[in-house]
Amino acid sequence: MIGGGLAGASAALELASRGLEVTLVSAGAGATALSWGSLDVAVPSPEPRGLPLRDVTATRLLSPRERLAACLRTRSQHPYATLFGRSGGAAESAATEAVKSAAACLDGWLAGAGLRVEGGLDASRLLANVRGAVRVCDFAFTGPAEGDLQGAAEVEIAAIAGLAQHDARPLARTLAAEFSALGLPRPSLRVVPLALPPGFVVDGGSPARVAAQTDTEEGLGVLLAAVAGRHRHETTVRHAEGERRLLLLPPILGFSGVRGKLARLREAAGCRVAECLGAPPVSPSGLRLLGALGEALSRQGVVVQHARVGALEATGRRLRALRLQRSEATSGSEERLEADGILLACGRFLGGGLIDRGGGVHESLLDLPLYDEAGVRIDGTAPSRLVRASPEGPQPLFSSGVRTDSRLRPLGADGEPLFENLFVAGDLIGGFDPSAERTGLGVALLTGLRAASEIARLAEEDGR
Amino acid sequence: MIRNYRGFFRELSRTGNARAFWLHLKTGVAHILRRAQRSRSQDAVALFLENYREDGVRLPDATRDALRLEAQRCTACGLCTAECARMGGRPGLDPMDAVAAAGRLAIEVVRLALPVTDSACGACAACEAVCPAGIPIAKVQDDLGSLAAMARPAGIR
Repeated sequence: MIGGGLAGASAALELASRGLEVTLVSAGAGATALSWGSLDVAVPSPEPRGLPLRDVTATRLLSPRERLAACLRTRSQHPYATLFGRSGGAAESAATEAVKSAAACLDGWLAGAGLRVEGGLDASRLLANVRGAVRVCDFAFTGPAEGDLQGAAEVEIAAIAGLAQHDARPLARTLAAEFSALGLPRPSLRVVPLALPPGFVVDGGSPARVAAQTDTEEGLGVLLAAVAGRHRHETTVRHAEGERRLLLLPPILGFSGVRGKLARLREAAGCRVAECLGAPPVSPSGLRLLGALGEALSRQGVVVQHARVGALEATGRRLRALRLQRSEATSGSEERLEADGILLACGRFLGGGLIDRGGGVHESLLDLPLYDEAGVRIDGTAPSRLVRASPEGPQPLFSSGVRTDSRLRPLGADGEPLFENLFVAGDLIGGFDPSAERTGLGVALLTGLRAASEIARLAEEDGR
Repeated sequence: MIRNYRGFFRELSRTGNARAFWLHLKTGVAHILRRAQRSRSQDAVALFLENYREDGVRLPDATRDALRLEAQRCTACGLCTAECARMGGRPGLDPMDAVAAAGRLAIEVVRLALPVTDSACGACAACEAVCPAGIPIAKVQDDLGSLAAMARPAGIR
């Protein structure tokens, strides 16, 4: 497996659980580490692209299932079209089944590290991010997942003095505006200051350092006391009861053990408690996910190599081995790693799968042909020519990636799979824009699992 | 001349402009004295660098220039900062800030008297391991540390 993000890790975990010998090569963190705490599988909406968030005629939020079906109907270049077929009832039921089993799989792997995948295809969750924008999410990880704004009659927004990049008042204002834009009944929104002793918010209020504080028993105790005593000075305010009340914390619940912390916080607060969605350095959610995946990988016996892939060796249409380049500590040492099947899951620009070389966009390892969402070939084109000034409408640069056959093998310029044992998963597959659609993690998980089953099938064929 | 200086001191006590006084002294007196002190046989470049060390003036350095180019790949994603916190690090200069400083490294940056040398950066390089851009952050921290140490006047260390 080349790539240590969600796509590579889920493929590795799936193959290891089928009893295959798996090595995962990772050069560093990619887009998975920068994820926001939700796991979205369905694109936000069918028409027009990305907006609106709800079905106008029915004036209700579309469920993930409906949005997934709409995506299959309208987007022929999307990786889902490859995974589940173009459209029709068969494709829809295949997609929903795949999503359900994938979420269950991931939940099982992460549960050991105390991180759960929550949500489903029947109802969207409304989660607030650190800026107060409401996001329509399908699944979410422990932490933000508990913060569904639907059904909350009262939302308390915790304010922590001195915490950088988190401001409760603008958050509350944005949240109020979002509710009226969505046409949903607005809960009562209140900013609640948490009284924390000096020394809790350190280093200029760096949220990552505050998060690290709550990883210690002492730091968590301080936070629990502040949450429990947040209404000390009030006398007359009446609060909604239990589940109808939500305390929204900034994402500071540390890098591990979030589930246990949330349970204790819920007890101290006397209501639902959740974190806002956020990405590093504001939120540790991506690093939590990466850490939990790392734990699962070591539990399943997957060998993880921290190295870069220098080159791939092939005989004919079959890859034989890959050469690993280590970082400087062991400089000069090149290692050869033989493999029967290889998965390319090194993402796009953040993961290093796509790079700007000689003034044009290229796939970094094999220089595979790249296509954008409209199916136009774009490799070798300057990145600046693939970006449009208008914020609405497609950005070819952000939807570019390789094209695959139905078994997720990357296609060459002639439209034929390049190698019979090379597969691709995750963002590196083009035809969708993970940042606009926010489906990066969802596609990574679904393609990673599919690629794993294709590799297992290949191993079976070879063994016969 | 004495009359001139009396006027200058009067002006100084009125405005309290110590910085202006220091510049006057440096250009008018200290520089000439310093030059007179040095022997003529000393290497001119070494002499120049020695004189302007405190101001952060230095010769172009191929290694540092390469490091600066690498630091310019930073996308400010903040993973290094988060990972550093996770590892329990408390560096004097946040890794992301260090990379940002190194990326636009100029004399002014050194003048900030960065608190790098007082840092508790354990050089664990955890930041480097998560950097999506592959920037050698530990090296950047190290380099900034040496620059800051160099730029700080002796005795204030």
